[in-house]
Amino acid sequence: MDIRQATIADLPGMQNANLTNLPENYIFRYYLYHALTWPQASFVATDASGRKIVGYVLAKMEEEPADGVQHGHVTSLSVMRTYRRMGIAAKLMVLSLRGLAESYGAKYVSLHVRKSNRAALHLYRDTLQFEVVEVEKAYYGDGEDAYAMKKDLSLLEDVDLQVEEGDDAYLIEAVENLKLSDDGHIIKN
Amino acid sequence: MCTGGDVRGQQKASMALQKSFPRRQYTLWTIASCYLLAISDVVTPQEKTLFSTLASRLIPLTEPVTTAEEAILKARVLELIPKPDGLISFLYDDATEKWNNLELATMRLEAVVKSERWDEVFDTSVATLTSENRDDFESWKQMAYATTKLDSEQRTRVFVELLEKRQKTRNGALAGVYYASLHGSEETFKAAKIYFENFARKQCAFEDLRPYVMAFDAHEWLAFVDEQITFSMSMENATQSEVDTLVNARKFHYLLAPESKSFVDENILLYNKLLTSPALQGKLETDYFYGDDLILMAATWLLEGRPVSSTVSKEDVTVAVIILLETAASRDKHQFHIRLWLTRLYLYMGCFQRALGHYSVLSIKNIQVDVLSHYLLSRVSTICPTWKPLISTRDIYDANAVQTPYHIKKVYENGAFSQVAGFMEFGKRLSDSINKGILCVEAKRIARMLDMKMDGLAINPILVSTKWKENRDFSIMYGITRKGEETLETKYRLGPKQTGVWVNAFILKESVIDDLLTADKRREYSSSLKDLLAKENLEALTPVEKWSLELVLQLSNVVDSPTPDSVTALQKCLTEGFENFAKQCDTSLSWEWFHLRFTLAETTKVVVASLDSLIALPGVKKNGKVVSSIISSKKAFQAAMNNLKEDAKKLKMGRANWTSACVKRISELDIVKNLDVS
Repeated sequence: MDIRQATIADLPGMQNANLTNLPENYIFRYYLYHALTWPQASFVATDASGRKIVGYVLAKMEEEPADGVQHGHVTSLSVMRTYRRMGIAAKLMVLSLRGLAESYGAKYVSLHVRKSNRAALHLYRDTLQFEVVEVEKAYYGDGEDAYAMKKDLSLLEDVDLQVEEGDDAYLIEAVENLKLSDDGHIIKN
Repeated sequence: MCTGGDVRGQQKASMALQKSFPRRQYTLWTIASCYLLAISDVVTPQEKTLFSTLASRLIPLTEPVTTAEEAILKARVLELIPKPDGLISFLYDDATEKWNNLELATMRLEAVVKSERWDEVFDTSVATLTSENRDDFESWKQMAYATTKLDSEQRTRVFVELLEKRQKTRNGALAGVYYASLHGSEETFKAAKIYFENFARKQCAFEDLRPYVMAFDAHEWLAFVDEQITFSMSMENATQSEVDTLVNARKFHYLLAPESKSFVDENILLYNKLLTSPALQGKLETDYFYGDDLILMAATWLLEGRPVSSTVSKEDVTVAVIILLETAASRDKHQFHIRLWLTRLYLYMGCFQRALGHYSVLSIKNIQVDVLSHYLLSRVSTICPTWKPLISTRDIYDANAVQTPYHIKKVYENGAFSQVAGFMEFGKRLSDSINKGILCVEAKRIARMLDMKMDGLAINPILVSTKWKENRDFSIMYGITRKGEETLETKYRLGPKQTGVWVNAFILKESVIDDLLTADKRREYSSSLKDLLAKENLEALTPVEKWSLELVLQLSNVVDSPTPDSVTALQKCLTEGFENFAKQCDTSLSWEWFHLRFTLAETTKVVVASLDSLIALPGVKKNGKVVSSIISSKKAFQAAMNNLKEDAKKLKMGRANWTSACVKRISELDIVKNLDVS
């Protein structure tokens, strides 16, 4: 598995990786906008042959931050089903967070995740140390709530260490066994 | 210049700006546009050298580099210079490495690999994997290769130690297999075993090892993978990992034991047992169940005609496979591979609406329309001429025409030089997409068949000079094919693959029809069509499509020289077409049945409408013999169409009997009886 910077030529492969993974599919120009405006923030993962795209992350800087603080936003993260549970999502995220911090001076990064998406929640909260800021009611087009999450980018080093340490076996076991409490906290068996 | 995709123009404009207003930004634009020209196919080899030299000479004017994007641009220009020393020196410079940029890191490794500097390849890879903490498979692979090339005890020890330390990471373990493959099949077998012991529970394990296993002793390998299958409780309570291991093992059986008669029965049995497992019951709706691959393998095994324990006739294979796949799809809504196969198989049987139902679940949109819509819309005008699926297909091409040029301008303005070549190429690929050409033709033909207005559907004949770009993905359909074998996608395709020749042939046909009464244009397009039919490889056309094109040429002859003889020749050609094609494919459940008859109907419609227009011309109206021939021919064409419709009606009326006979036969098949449909 290789990870490299995303280019516009990757767009067909990225959308194939996406297919029905995520109900959100942005309009065409939004993908172009990410690729040209924030090229250091978006990455793709390819299979061993280097030809097929098996995952990607799209991220950007907020152009007019409401709080006046320069920060990034993860727009979309996706890994093809056959290549899941190997830490690819975590690695894509780490590179993207690093790109936002080092290339664009982001102080923190925000994202939204569906309340029902247990695997993603585990990745963001437990592996990457994002914190839940609030629950946004009916955030998604189909009415599902979203957790609005945030990560301070001065804390990148500890995330790197966690991802590197050994296999992602702990990720698999944790995902298989986790349950969520009513307020969205993970209860381990 | 950006809007029009004119790279030469971009270069001239940026040079003019740079000379008139010597700003750093304009110099960078000049460098970028010179680079684009140097890698394009619109310049001669001499010009390539000229522009790459010009770009490299302008670089010092922009130094020092102030962003990673500028560093990438400089590296790309240096890449064009034959001697790699300048590039390598730049990429390894501290000032460049400080950008900590992944694109530059990738170029660094590529540059030393290309120059076969194996010591530097080795050292760079070690640094990437250890001190930079980047688990990059390409680095692993190149390090393994460099170790072999260097053949040094010290380097080998370092590499092997790193492999052992990282054995439990997927990239490390796979690198071990790759390294072993450079040293012989026995070593590879051992390394593959270690990999599978650690990663059998990963869904990618089969794909990772597939390139290597064909060299193994099949029995030994299959015995080993079967040993890895364990269930802590029972198969009915299998966890995700246990299911993944099982399915991976079965995939190896599929690949290495193609004569096993019990394969399909075993797979169905295993699938039935897994229906109660937490892996299926507990998954998210948008996730998919890997156990479905057991059914997919059973399906493709049958489609390939491999041995089975109880025979399934050729006539019944498609229906039996559909039943298997529909059963799995009913339990797993977002199973992409199953939906795509069902789309294809229903189309193969001429059941467009059923195919459309499954295709719609895939929610294919945006750029996927260019890449994947051919799975539904290939030859749609002659399988089921329906307008609705085509409605939104043009959006992506229209969006590209506006958005991509706008964003190319922005690329220059924002200094996103790593993207500029990609944006230009992307815009061109979409603009010249074969799929776009096909959809333009199909839209026109459908509008004709449905008597719709054709406003806005005109096709510019100049498009035949397009260098059509193939963006369609034919490899995405599920299948485990051995190297060199014909894929199942090819075997179950609806006719030969439509190529640029197909697009051009039908564009010319439409141009002949549109300008039939304008002598000079008619002759020009007819001549081009005739040339194409004589000189090009016509493998992309079905026999009835070729006939349809030839008939339009006959029609053009009639308009050129309206005589009783030319009209008779036209009638003869049309009648022969009906005699040849209207009797083919007796069963209605085949795409070919519809394709033949709709093509006959469409062509007849074109001929009749054209003759109506011809007969109204003053010069022709006065010629009683010609008018009489035309009227007589039209009657014959109408009679042929009526026969076609009568045959279709009879077939439709007989469908109920066909269906009940089919259901009776299929229900007796063991594979259907064994399937748990509860």
